[in-house]
Amino acid sequence: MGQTTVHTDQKYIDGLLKNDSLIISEIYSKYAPKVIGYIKKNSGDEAAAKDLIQEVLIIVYDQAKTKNLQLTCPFDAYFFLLCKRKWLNVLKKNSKQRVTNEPLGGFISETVADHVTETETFDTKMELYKTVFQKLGDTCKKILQLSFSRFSMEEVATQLDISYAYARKKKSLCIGQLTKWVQESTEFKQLKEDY
Amino acid sequence: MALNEETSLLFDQYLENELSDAVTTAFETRLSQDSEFANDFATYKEMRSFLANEFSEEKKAFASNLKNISDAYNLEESSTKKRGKLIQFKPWQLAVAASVVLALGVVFFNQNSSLDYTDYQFEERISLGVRGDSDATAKEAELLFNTQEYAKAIPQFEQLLLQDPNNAEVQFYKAIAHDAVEDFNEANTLFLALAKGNSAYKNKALYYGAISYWKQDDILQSKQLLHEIPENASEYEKAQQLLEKL
Repeated sequence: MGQTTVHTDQKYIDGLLKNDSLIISEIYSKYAPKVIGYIKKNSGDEAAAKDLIQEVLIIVYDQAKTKNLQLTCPFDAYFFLLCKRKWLNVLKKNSKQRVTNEPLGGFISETVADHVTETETFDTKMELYKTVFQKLGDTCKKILQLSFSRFSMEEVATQLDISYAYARKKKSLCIGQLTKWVQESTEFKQLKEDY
Repeated sequence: MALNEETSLLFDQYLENELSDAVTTAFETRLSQDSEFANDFATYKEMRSFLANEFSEEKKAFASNLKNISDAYNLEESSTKKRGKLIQFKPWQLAVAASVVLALGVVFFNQNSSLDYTDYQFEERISLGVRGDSDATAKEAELLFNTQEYAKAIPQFEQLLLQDPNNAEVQFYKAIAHDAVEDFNEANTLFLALAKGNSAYKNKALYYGAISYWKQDDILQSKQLLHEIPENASEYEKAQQLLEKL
């Protein structure tokens, strides 16, 4: 990273983590107009821009939550670049519209570029994890969904009418299965090679 | 080595701190020496933390709060927020605060020439229920209203209300008539009274009250009334469409 001290804009990351409505609103009022403007100029509309902003903020939240994201660059540059690049990907996927996907770098500071790359890698992984989760059988899905929400393993066992010991064991095995699928996937191998 | 069941169970026990000290030490030694084992563990752990976050109550709460804030956000009206007014609102007031502050931005200027309140005004022919002595007056009011003689219809409505002060239907048409002759004070009072009440004309009053405020260039108030129309009302959809346009 170009810089290692945490930027004062870390308050936005912390605000997202704390689900602080004032901070989230501030993000919208300060940074959404630029993103919406960009998307409107590039074959999108305000609704699409708002959906995209939500998606990006959720990724940032996830990364902050599970990877302890520490921002060492301004939020503005980081957030805008994330949105811009995600939008370019949407355009690429959805249509034959030609877009010039500028490579990272150029006028972007190294610190911002590093952060954006890290978040994009994280995003790709999360998408992969969601995809493999869908491959699980119903019992695995239920055990994981319930045990990681607000239920204890005892409650999960009761709800699914299985023994506590079986539920516990099954939970580890389901995560093991997911891990195996992820490791076998080409996307995962690709990620490992790229970064 | 593909991750086997035994290893999965071991990973889980380690992460749950269920292994004895001796086994934990052995586990950690292996992590530092066996890179494949360490890789498997890293991915297992990452998968587990992904799941823990993905299905957590916190994430659900965050996503739903984010959606609410996003829904309340409107670009064209956001310039006002730069003055920092939003900051003055408490978090629980946020949805309301956002719509209020946002609306301020366009209060006096509606430069969208394709959008005209006259396209949204009340245009139905009315038919008042006939009740005893009020028969002739009701017929007269109906006729005057339906021929757009609103100024003349108003005294007839007043007559009817003398006999039946709580008749929401008559109050509503009277409000429309006041609005038509641009006697807005009277119109606003009647629309708001109906909007606060619980009659069958409540939602109609919210909707046409909103149109009237729009006519008065008070987009803020107009939007507030539109926002209050509940989802199950027949006016809900057109209110939402109008909200998008305003």
